[in-house]
Amino acid sequence: MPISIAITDLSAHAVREPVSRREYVLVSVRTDAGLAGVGEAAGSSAAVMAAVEAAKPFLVGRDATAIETVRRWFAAREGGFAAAAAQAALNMALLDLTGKLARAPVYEVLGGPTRFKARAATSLEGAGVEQLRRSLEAARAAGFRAMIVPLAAPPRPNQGQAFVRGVRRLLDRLRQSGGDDIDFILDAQGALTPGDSQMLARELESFHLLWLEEPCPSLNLPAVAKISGESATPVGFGRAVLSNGEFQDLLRLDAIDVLRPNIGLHGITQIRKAAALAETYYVAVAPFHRGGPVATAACLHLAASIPNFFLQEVPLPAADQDRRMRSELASAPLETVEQGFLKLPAGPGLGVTLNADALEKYRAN
Amino acid sequence: MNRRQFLTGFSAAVNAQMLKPSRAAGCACAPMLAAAQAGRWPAPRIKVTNMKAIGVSLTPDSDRPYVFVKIETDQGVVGWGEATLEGKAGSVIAAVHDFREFIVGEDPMKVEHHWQSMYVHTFYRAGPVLGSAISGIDQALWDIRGQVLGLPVYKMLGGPIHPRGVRGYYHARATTREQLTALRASAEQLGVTCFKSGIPGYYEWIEGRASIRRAVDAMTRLREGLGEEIDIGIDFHAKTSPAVATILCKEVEPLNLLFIEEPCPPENVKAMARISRRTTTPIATGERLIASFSCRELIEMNVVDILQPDINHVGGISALWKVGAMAEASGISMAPHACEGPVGGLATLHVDAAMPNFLVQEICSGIQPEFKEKVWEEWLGFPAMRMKEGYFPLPEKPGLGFDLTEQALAKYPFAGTRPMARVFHADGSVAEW
Repeated sequence: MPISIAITDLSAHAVREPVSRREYVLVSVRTDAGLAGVGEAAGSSAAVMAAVEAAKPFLVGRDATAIETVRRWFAAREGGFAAAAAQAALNMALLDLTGKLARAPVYEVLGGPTRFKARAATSLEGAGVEQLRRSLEAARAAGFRAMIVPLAAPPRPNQGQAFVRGVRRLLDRLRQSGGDDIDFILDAQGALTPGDSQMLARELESFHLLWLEEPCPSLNLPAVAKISGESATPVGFGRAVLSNGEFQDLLRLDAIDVLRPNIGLHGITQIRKAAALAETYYVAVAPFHRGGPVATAACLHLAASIPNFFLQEVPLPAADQDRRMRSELASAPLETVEQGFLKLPAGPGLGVTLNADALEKYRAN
Repeated sequence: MNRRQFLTGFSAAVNAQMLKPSRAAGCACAPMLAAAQAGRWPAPRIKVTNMKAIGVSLTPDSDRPYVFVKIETDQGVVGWGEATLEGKAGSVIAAVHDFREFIVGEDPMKVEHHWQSMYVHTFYRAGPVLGSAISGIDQALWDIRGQVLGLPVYKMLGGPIHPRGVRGYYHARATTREQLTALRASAEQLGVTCFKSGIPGYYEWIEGRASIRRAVDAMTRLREGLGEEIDIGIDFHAKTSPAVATILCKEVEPLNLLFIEEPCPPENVKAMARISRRTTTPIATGERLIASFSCRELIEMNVVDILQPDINHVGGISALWKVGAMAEASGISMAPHACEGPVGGLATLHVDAAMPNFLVQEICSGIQPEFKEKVWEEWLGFPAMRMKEGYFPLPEKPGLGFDLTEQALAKYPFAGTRPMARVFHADGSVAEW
């Protein structure tokens, strides 16, 4: 078996779900051994496609398993979200190749499995109790036992009691109709002030959320620390964070209970490193993932390679067409949930085979 | 059934019961382990059949016999690791044997799972004996994984970053001007770019001018003798108090040393922080730290510039990589310690090769190979842990990348545990060395 394979080409493909309009970029890396690796970047902007393209001259001819050299190349350049997303997708693709080279699942290359299944959650869709209830029923029927409830952004900052009590009533009703075996995460989508967040966190202490998600925008880290500092409700944060240094600061400030790195902005290796940081603070990792099925596979391999994984969110589009697209694209039943848990992909590599026809059929531009 | 048969049967039943998870039921907090798992692990493609801890004494009076861990599998693949703990060989051999039930009969691929189980289920978690035992087992499991997957360990970790291998340093072992001039010439010839040295003598809580001058002069002589181009690390070996260390670190600031190592003992992070805060000389420490948890505070409090965990104590490849990841997020460099046998040394190179924040790798050897290095070559068939042009070459074979046999080691049988050096001050009180 050859132990070196060289990158010969790469390409990026933006795809869009027909109904939800959710977009993501799938990256394919080809090698001289005939193996191809696949990864996924968050978002689908032209900037992400350009960032992947910009890395091509560096990557072509390079050893596909020398993953750290690629990250170093990105780290030495400016580029913000687009470059982070491109790095993430390439990291997944190169690990996919390493796994295929070893004829083993990625989690096994990385020292796993640390578990044989991964706890799952999904975001409910809609606003208002009736829509959310229907979404919850669908998610429950699909096997989910943990629900992420989107919180509608309040019209004004610094809400009063009506707002706080309203959120509590909504959650109580969802729990009533969902049953006692359903857990909840409240997703504030970064839309609250720290003041609103801490009032809400206090009110929900007795509701026992799994966590309060992204309560405020990432204005500054001490603001996040203040929220968790004033309440016992666990706080999850980090979807917009781009560097492990910033995660380290969140941990150092005792600001969070759940680390939420975005899989499509970091890739597998960087989140493994963030998890190593979090482990020493006894903090769990639950990667943020609102993208496509390739990133789902990456998340599952990550989950099975780290000790402090807690839960993985997976999108469950309401529309049949969208769900069909996800399974057509990845041609593997990756996102099947049973009794609240996802199965580990079998591999080799990420265990995903990209369907070229589907890439064309769902092309975003 | 006679009385004897009845009793035998009874005790067999009790023993069977005790082997079940409920054996911990002596404590009110004992968990129902079996009930916690719902589902099952995939059927392993390979299983561990045996695990041995092998003591090796290069000389009958060695204070640091090597402890090698050998793990055998049902597929014929054999993995080696190193659990050497200076002065405590017997304890580590026993600790490795205590983990037999965690490893033998298990899937060797699940290395992080086994690491967690050995560390967490030991309940008392860290400590050098436990850390070294886990280190040896972890390395051997990575060696097996690499061979099964057909990849050198550094490739599983995302390396290599530098195709030439891993930059290293030898110990200077030169003090006089003449010795240093000769060392510099050899270094230039061999392409060696870095050396480490200690400081002379033992140190009281506070030292006066004579002792301070002696130490500063020794460091100055090194810089003058080796020139500007060669990097110099100085190991205080924790024999100085924070008061003395601070003075010395400040005095040698103009020498622009690569680092000063262990300026005080490791238990009190604030004490080391006090030294670090008062000097611009980079501070390095870490060889006595166990598991990534023990490095958190050093990083968090901005105490260190360079971390030096030892792969044979910190928890093997798994733990060294995690410390590297933590350090990377704070811009801290990695210069792993290596002062035991060749197995741990070679294992460290794999992690070094995959850490973007790697600085330089130690080996406790001089620039010329001596008895120890010749024995290593005899065991492994190549000059292990010897640099070429200043770099340790990386193994190319899968796993840790070397072949070792028990027969090769048998020439140097285990001669028992010996304490490390014990030194005392003039008044008979205990001194650090």
